Amino acid sequence: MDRFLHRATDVGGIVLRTAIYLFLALPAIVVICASINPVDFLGFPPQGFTLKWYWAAFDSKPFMDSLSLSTQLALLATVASLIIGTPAAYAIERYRFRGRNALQAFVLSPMIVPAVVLGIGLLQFLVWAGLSQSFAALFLGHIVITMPYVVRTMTASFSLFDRALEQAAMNLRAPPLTVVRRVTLPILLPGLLSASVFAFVTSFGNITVSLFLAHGGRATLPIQIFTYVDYGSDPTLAAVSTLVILVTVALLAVVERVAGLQKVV
Amino acid sequence: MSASVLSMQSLRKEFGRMVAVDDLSIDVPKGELVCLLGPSGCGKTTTLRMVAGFIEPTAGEIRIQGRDITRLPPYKRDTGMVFQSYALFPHLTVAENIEFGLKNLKVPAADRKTRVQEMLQMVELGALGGRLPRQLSGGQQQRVALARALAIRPAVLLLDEPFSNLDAQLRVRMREELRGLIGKLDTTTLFVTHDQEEALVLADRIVVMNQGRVEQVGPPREIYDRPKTRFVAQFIGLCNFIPATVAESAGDALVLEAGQGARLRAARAASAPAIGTKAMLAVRPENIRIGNPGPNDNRVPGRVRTVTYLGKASHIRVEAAGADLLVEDHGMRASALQPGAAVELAIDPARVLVLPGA
Amino acid sequence: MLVPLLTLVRTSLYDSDKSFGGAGWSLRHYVRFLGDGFYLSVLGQTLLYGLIVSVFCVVVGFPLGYSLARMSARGRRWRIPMVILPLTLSLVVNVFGWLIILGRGGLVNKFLLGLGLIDAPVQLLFSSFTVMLVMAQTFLPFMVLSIMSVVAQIDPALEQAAANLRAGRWTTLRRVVLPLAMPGILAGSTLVFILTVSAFITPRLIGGTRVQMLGSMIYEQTLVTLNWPFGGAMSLILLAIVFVFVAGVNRLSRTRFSETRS
Repeated sequence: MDRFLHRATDVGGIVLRTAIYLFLALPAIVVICASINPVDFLGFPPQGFTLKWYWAAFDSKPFMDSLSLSTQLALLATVASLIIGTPAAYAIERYRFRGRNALQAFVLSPMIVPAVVLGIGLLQFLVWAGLSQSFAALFLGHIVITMPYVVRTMTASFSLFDRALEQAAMNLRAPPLTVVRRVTLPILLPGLLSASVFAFVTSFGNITVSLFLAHGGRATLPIQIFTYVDYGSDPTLAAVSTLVILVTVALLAVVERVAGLQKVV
Repeated sequence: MSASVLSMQSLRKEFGRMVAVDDLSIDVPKGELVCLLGPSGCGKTTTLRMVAGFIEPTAGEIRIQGRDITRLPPYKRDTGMVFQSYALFPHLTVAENIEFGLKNLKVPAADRKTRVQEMLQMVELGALGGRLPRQLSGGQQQRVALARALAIRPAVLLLDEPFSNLDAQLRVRMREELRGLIGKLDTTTLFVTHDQEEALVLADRIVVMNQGRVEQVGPPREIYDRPKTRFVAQFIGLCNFIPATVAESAGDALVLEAGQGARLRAARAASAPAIGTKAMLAVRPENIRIGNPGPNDNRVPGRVRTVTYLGKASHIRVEAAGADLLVEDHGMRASALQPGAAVELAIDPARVLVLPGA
Repeated sequence: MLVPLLTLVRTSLYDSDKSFGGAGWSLRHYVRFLGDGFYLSVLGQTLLYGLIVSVFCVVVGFPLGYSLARMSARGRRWRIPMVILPLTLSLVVNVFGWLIILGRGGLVNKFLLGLGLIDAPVQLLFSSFTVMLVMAQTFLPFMVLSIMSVVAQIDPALEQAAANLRAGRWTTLRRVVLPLAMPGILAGSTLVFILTVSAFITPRLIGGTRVQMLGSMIYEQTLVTLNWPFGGAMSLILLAIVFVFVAGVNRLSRTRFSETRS
C-alpha cells in the first residue's frame, strides 16, 4: 500500500509538472499554429498549412515600420545600457563605497516599481522636459527598463570572475590592456552576451512603458499588436506575433548555447 | 647583497591600522628555496604578493637581481607565480595557458611551440596540451600552473600554497615532484605554506612568521631542533612545555626546578637566562623515553594518564614535573602500560631547550 | 528614475482635472479616490486578485521550482527556456495567444463542444477568473525561478537526514523543505503580487470593461480621459501599497526566517 502511494505521488508529480509546462507554453504554441492556419479567423487547431499571413504581414507597412522601429530601439537601448550598466555593475561588485547600496537599489528599482507608475512618471517628466512622443522619449524609457537586467547579469558575472586570473596574466608579463583583451573580456563574454540578449528582448517586447511614451505617431511593434488586438482579430497578427516569438526563442537559444541559460537566470 | 637573487629589506605593509607585515628582511641566493611558514593571517601571503607586485608595500624595498622593483607594476617584474587556485585561464587550452606568458615576452612563434612542448614534457602532460583546464584533475591542473609559471623562465618562482587543494596522498607526491623539478632547474623560489611538514620537506631555509613578524629564520633542522621561541616550537611539530625556574649553572649545563620537585638539566644555550629567573622548558615528545635512562639523562618520575595507540607509535600522556607531558613511544612497551601506572621518564639534557619567560 | 517620480508627485497635487497648467495645489485627487466607494472597491478587488494569483503561483510554482532545483543540468537544458519564455516574450503576444485559446472559436470551446459538455460556445473572456489565470501564467516564471534558486541551496542531505529520522515524504516537505524554501517563496510572491496589482494590459484585453483593476484605471485616466493629476494620484497610491507590501514581506522574512538565511 505504501509503495503504491509512493508510486502514485511520483506519477502524479510528473503529470502535474507536464501540465504546468504546457500551461506556460500554450499561448506561444497556439499563436504559431494560428499563423499557419489557412482559415481566416483565429482558430485552433490549424486546418492546413499556409504562409499567406506572413506575406500579408510583410506587405503591411504599419507592421514593418513598427518592426524596424522596435529593432532599432532595442539595439540602441541595449548598447546604451551595456555602456552605462557594465561599469556600474563593476563598481557595485568590486568596490565598497559610500552609496553603493543606494546605487544598486537605484538601478534595480525599475524591477520593483510598477510599470504603470514608471510609464506615467516618465511621460509626465518628458512632457515637462519637452521630449515627449519623440524617439528620445522611448530611448530614455527603454534604457531605464533594460538597465536592471544588464546590471544584475553583469554583477553576477563579475562576482564569479576570479581576480587571480587577471593577476596571473599580469604575472605572465601581460600589460593592463592585454589583460583586458585576452583574459577579462573573453571570460566575461558569456555574461555580456546574456545581458545584451535580456536587455534586447525586454526592450523589444515591452508594451507597458512604451504605451505611455509613444502615444500616437510612430508605434513600436508591441503597441501595433496591442492596437490590432483591440480592434479585432486578424491572422496577420498571428504571423507578426510568431515572428516575435521566433526572435525571442532564437535569442534565448543563443544564450543557452554560449552561456547556459540556467547560469544566468 | 649582489649575490642574492631576491632581496627584501625592512618590508612593511599596513592595511588601515593593521600591520600585516612588520620589518621583514630576507635575502635569497640563487637556487635557494625559501619557505614562508606561519598560521593564516601571519603576513606570509601578503609578503609573496608584494614580491609579485599585487600589493604595494608601505615601506621597504624589494630587489630582484639587484634591480629595485618595489614600485614596478606586476608585469614588469621577473617573477613566475603559481596561485593557490592555480588561476588557469578557463577559456584557453593547456598549451595556450603555458604559451600565454611567452607571447607577452614576444618570443617568436616557433620557439614558443618548442618551449611549450618542453614544459609539457617536463611536467609529464605531453598528450594533454589540447585540453581545457576544467577537463584536468587537480594534480594535472597544478602541474599546468607550474609549467606556465616556469615557461617564462622567471628569476624568482613564487608558490602560494600550491598543494592546499590536493588530497593528502597526491600532496605528498606532488611535493616530491616539485622538489625534484626545482632542484633540477636551480630556480630561486619563494614558497608560502601553513603546512609545517611541507616546509620541512621542501625548504632549504624556513622563515617562520607570526602576526606580521619574523619569529625565526633557518634551515629546517635548526628550526625543528633549536626553536628560538615558544611559538616556533609549538607551530612546528609537537612540543611539551614545562614552566621552570633557573636554579644553578653547572658547567655547560643549566639546572632548572620544575613542578613536583623535579630538577632538570638542560644544555646551555647561547643566551642563558640568569639564575633565579623564570624560564620555559621545551621538549619534543619523541625525545622523552619511558624507562631505560642513559647515564647522562634527566630522570623524572611520573604517572601515566592515557595511552593512545597510533599504529607506528603510541602517544602516552604522563603527569610529571608539574605538567601534562606527551611522550611518543615507538617501542612495544607502551602497550603494556595502564593508566595510573608509575613510570620514570628519561630525557637527554641536550634535547631540553630553555626558552625565555614563563 | 527619481525625477519622473517627483514630477508625478507634483502633478498629482494639481488642483485641476487638466493635465497641464493647473492653478494651485490640493489633495483633492487623493480625497476623491479614498472617499469614493467605487474606487475603493476596485482597489480592494485589485489587492484580492493580487493575493489569489500569488497563492496560485506558489501552489503551482513550487513543484516545478523544486523539481528543477533537484534536476541534472541536462534535464534543465530544455525546461528552463520553457519556463522563462512567458517572461521574455512580449506581453501582448502572450495575451494574444490567450485570446485565441479563450475566444468563442478557441481551443477551450472546441474542446468542450467536442466532449459534448456544452452545446454552444461559452463566453470565457471578460471574467475575473480568466484574467487571473492569464496573469498567473504570465508571472509564474518569477515564482518558479525564485523557488528554484532557493531550493538549489538547500543541501539534499537535509532531506535524507529527515528520511533517516523516519519522516515521510510529506513530513519532510512540510517540516524541512518548506520552511527552508520560505525566503524564495516570499520573494517570488512579492514579485507576483506587485506585477498583478499593477497590471493593466491583461485586464484590459482579457477582462474588457467588465473586470476593473487599479492599473487599467490609471491607464484610462492618463491616456484616455487625460486627467493626469488623478492618474498620478492613483499611481502614487499604488506605489505606496507596493512599498508597504515589500517592506512587510521583508520584515517577515527577516524576523521569522532569519535563521534559515545564515
